[in-house]
Amino acid sequence: MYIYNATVATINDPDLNNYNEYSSEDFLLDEDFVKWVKSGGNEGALFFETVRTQFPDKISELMLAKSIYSSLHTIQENPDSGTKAKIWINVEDAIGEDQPEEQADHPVRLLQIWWRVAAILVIAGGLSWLAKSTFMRVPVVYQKQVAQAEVKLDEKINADKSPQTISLSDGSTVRLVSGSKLSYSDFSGAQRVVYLDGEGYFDVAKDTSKPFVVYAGQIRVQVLGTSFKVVSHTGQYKSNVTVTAGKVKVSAVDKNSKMMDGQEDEIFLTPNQQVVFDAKKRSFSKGLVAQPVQLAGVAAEFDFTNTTIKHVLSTIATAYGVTIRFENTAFESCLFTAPLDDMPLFRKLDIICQTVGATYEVFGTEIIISGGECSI
Amino acid sequence: MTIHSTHDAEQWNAFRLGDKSAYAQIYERYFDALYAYGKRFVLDHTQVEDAIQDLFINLWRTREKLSAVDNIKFYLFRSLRRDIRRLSEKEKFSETIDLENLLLINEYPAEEQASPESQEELTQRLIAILKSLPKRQLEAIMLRYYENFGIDEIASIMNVSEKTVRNTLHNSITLLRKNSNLFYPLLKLAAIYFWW
Repeated sequence: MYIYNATVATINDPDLNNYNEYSSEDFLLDEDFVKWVKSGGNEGALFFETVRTQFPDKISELMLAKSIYSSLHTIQENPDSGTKAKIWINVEDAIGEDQPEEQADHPVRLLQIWWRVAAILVIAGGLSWLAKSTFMRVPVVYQKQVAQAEVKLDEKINADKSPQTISLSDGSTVRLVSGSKLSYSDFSGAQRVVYLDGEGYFDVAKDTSKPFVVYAGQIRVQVLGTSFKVVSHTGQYKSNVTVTAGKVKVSAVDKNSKMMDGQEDEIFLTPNQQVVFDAKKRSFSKGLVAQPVQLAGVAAEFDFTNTTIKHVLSTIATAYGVTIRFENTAFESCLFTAPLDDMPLFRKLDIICQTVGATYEVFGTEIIISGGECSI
Repeated sequence: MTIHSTHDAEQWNAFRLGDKSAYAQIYERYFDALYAYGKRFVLDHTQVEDAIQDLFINLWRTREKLSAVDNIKFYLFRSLRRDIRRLSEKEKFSETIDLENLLLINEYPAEEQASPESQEELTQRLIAILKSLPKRQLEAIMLRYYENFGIDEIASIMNVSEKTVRNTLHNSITLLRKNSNLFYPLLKLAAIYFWW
C-alpha cells in the first residue's frame, strides 16, 4: 500500500502542494509538515491552511502524522543540560593533547577503559562541568584534612592517563583514577584512615577490629571489608559512593574531618546501591546504581521455564540484592518462560514486564512493579 | 535534501582539512540526536557519553584518512551504532539486540478502542504502542519518521536489507493506524484551527 520511494519525487518538489495522495507517512516525510510540526505550529501556517481548506479529508491523516511525530519526540531520551558542554570539554582536551606523530599509534585506550569501568561501576553522575567556574568558592577540604591529620601520611597522585592501583599495608587496594589523589598512613592507629580527592575504587581487606575510613571531601565512608567506589573532587559539590560488595556507612563531615554537629544522617549502603552527597544542600540521596551487577557468591539460574512470576522476581531480587515490590498480586502466579541469562537486570525486568503487561519504576533503592495480568 | 548535501559536503571537507570550527559545528548540531539514538542501546548514560566522546575524538584523529561524506548525520549515526555494538559485545553487558524480533508482528491488543477524543489522547496512545514494540522495530520507525533517513540509509545503519526495513515500517505504521482508530470525533476537533 505504501510505496515509499515513489512518493519521494513528489515530496521534494516544493511547488507541488498536492496532498491528495498523501497518507500519514507521506506527511511525516514532507519538509513543510516537518517545519510545521517542529515549530509547534508557529511556522508553516500556510501548509496547514492549505491542507485544511483544500484537502479536508486529509485532516485525519495529518493528525495521525502529527501524533506519530509527537509520540516519537516524547520517547526520545535527551541528555541532561550541560552534558553536551561537558563531553565537548573532554573531546577538546583529548584532541588538544595530541602530538601529530602519535595519531596513528594511540587509539583512545583511556576511553575504552572508562567504558569498562562504567560497565561495573557508576561514574559520578551530575558532576556539572560548571563547577569549574565556581571553584574558588568551594572549600579545599582535602588539603586541609590532610594537613591536619595526626599521623604521617604518604600521598599518591595519579598523573598518568590511566588508572593506577595502589596496594595498602593491610592488603587493601585502591584503583585511583587519573588525576586523583590519595593520602594514607601505615595504619598503625586504631582505624585505617585514608583521604581521597577525585575518584577511587576500593577493595578493602576484611579486618573487623580496625574499621577502614575514607574521608572524601565532605563525606566520610566507613567500612569493615568490602568493595566500593568513592568520587569526590575538590571544587565540586557532589560526591558519590557506589557499593559493589559488603556494607558501608556514609556520613557528612566538615573540613576538619569532624562529624557535623546536629548532622545525624548516616546512610547505609548495600551492594548495587549508591548515594550522592550534595555539599551545597548538605543532603544525601540514595538510589540504585544505573547498572546493577549480580552479587558475588550468589549462584542464580535465570533460564526460567513455566516458573511463577513471584518466583522469577524473588530469584532476581536475591541475585542482585535489590528489593522488588509489586502492588498487583494478580499476576504473581502467572507462569513465565524465557532465558534471561547474560543480560542486565533492567533488561530482564523489561522482558518480564512486557510478558505480563506490567511496568516498573525505580523509586530510591526499590523497584516497584505495577499493573500486569496473566492473559496478555 | 540536495541543499543539505552540498552544505554537508562542504562542512565535512573543511573539517577534514583541519577546520576546528567546522568540527565544532558538527558536534554542536548532532550531539543531542546522537545521544538520544545511542541511549536506545545502553542503559547507562555514561556509556553513551563515552561512546560519543570516543567517536568525535576518533573523527578528529583520523580526519585526514576519512572519505568524503554527503550526509554527515547518516555517517555519524552509523558510526555510533557500530561503536556501541562493538563495545557492548566486547564488554559482555550487551543489551542483546535481537535480529529476529525485527519482523515480528506485534500483537498489541487491538480491541475495539473508542476513538481518541483529542490529539493529546491519540499521542499518548501511540506512545504506549511504540514503547511496547521490539527495540529494532522502534529504531526503524524513529530513523525514518523522526530523523527522516532514507530507506537505503536505514538499511545501512541497521545492517539489514532495504526490503526488511520497508516491511518493518509497513507493519509498524499499520499497527499504529489500527490502534489510532481515527474517526469523526477527531475530524470535528480538527475544525478547530490550532491543536497546540
